[in-house]
Amino acid sequence: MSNPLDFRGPEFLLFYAALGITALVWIVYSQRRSEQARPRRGLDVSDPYLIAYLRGGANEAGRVACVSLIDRGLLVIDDDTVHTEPRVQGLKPPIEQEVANLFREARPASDLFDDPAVTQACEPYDQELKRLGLLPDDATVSARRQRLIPVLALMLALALAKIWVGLARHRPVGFLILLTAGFVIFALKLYNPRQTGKGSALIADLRQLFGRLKERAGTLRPGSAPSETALLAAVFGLGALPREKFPWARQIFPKASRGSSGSGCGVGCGSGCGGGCGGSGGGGD
Amino acid sequence: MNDRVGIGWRPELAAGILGQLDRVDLVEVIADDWFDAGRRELRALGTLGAQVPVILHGVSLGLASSLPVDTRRLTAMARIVNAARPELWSEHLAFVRAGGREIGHLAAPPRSSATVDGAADRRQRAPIGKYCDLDRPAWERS
Repeated sequence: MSNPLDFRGPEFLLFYAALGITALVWIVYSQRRSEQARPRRGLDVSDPYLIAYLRGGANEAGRVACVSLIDRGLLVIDDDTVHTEPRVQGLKPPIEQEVANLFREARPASDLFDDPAVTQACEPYDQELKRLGLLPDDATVSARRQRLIPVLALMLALALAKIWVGLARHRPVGFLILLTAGFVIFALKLYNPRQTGKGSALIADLRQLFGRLKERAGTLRPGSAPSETALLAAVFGLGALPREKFPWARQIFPKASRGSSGSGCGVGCGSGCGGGCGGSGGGGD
Repeated sequence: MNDRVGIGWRPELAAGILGQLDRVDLVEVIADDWFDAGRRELRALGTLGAQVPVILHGVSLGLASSLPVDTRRLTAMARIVNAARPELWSEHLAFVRAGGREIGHLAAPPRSSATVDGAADRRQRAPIGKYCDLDRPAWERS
């Protein structure tokens, strides 16, 4: 087998790119394998803010809370600002109360992003999701680093060796430097995703279970089914809210409302999801 | 055992059911609806089973039919049981097919010793887990 350091420039670039892609796939695959496990009881899937936080952090939980409060008539949109009318007190989820408090003065909805009180209200969600292994805790992040470091070291050592050889032979090394930088950036982006493998699997499962809700989102009327609206936004993102029924969601959160996240295909109920004990057997319960 | 209150799982009602789990003791899932489910759907069923006690209920094994239980249906039921990890699974003691035809109904089987022997034999051929519970014979329903 020939020494890769003796490869010609384009050959080495191809070799390096293939090795880099293999390494990235391994990082993602091994991470998912080690972090995925059967779901455990304990997550309150009835809490849309918990799901939204798992999916997108405090800003996403804040968005869903804001949409839910508007849907229930507790927040009012006036041009491009949002405000409470009348003053709202005693909301049970702390995040709802913090969002309501924030909008006692009319201000743009985007002001809730990175608001310290809203972030603070999400702290219990963060702790709970880490406890359940759905968000990475310190040990998980450390394990991720331990997988990344040898891969990075190997790839950087290989690149540096070839650069040294190339410079000694008066060859151009610019493309290799760019490729190495690209690999490092991709690896750093991929190695530490927001959710654990278990967390992303749970989001995918919830999208399966709530698939029919998304399919019939067009039948939702503002204010008629607040919990369904909040769960729809929490599981699939604001983009899942039908534009014609919830035009204000697009108005106040244009970026988040742009597209629906995830495929949200229907749940595996085959063809026989009829009422009663009907399925394929007919008669019944 | 205390009485418990449950509801039949319907994907259309997912938000209503999962949003009110504090008021639902268990969820009945029609197993036959999941016979063709893929890996992702079954994993989602497992997640449902992790949130709330699940009772799987089958309607098409035909334990009191005149034919042996279809192996494919049993295999599918086993996959679903393994995915959902239900508290128990049940099946009708009913007559649902004969001569290669589905009658489309949970019909009462003939009240004969041959039916009892056949049903007992089929019950033994369906040893999926330790849960299987036979629903009331169809003739008790009419």
